[in-house]
Amino acid sequence: MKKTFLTRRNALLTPGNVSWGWYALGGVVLLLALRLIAPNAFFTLAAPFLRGGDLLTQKSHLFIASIADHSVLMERNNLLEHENTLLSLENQTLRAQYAVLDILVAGGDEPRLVAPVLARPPESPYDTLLIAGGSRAGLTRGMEAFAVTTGSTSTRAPIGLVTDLTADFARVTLFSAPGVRTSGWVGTRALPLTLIGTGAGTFSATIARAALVSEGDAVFVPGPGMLALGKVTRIDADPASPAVTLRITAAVNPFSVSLVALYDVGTAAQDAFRVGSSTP
Amino acid sequence: MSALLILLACSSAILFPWQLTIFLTLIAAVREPLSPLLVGLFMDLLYFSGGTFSLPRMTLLGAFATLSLLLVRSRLRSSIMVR
Repeated sequence: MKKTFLTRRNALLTPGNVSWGWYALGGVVLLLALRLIAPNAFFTLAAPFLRGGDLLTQKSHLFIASIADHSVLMERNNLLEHENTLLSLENQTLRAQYAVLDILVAGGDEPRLVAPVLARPPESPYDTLLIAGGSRAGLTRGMEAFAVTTGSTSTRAPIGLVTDLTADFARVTLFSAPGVRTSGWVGTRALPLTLIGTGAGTFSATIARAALVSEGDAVFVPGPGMLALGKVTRIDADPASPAVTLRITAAVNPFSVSLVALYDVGTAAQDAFRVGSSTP
Repeated sequence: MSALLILLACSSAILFPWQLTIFLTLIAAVREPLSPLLVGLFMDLLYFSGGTFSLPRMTLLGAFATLSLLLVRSRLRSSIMVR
């Protein structure tokens, strides 16, 4: 007698229902498993793609800059040269003051590590930097990251703290990450305030109107001493309120950071850095 | 076509600003409702820092978008069948 075999079908998932989305989701779930089980291996695999993306972004910026209007660029260049001269003079004065302060403050000037940035905002929606340096290179959670300008490793512009670490990679959460609160000071009188990250290198803070903070005042965060984080760019004031809201912009554009120097700054910076959701 | 759109949205998570990634994901979602969930998951794989943020927002946002799309699709399908 002839026996008929019928293939058993799954009521929920028939081969016809399986779309590309399911395959891709399966792939991402596999990557998630790899990320959870072996985070360092995951980032080792992802690093070439992230580096490629970074290179493409830089090339596209250069291309866009090259086709921009030359007369506007010349005018801007002249303005920047003038500003550069002024800043150079100011820098010399500050360097002399800094040399004295550095002797007073504990800790050397040499960074523990200079690491290249693999991914940064705006690709990263959380205002985090993924850097190619981890515990194997001597990094520890809580180290403070400083932006390094090309050709110089002595820049002291703090940008965030190391919050996540694997053997070869680390993530730096920027002070400007949405919801992150950082204690700091504003102005020459060093008035204390709490900076609230609003994303993309910007902050807001509330301070009493009587404090007489003005636009252009520098904002500082803890580190080895007081470190200039940015400046007040706008003050929103309601006539009925005794407080004003300061809009602060970081000194360094987080979108263009390609190298970071990492210092162990002790607990001062870590204590100043809190996640908004974990604070009352 | 769906595969290409999904690939483009996932590549965008590495190459382009996250706002553009969301835009491309929404375009892909027209063809493939699962794409918001998988792109959200992929973005969190790369950028979410558990030590700082309590919730993987991109995954949650993607899951919400996928569920909404599946619901809308099922409604549309049933309304077509009634006719």
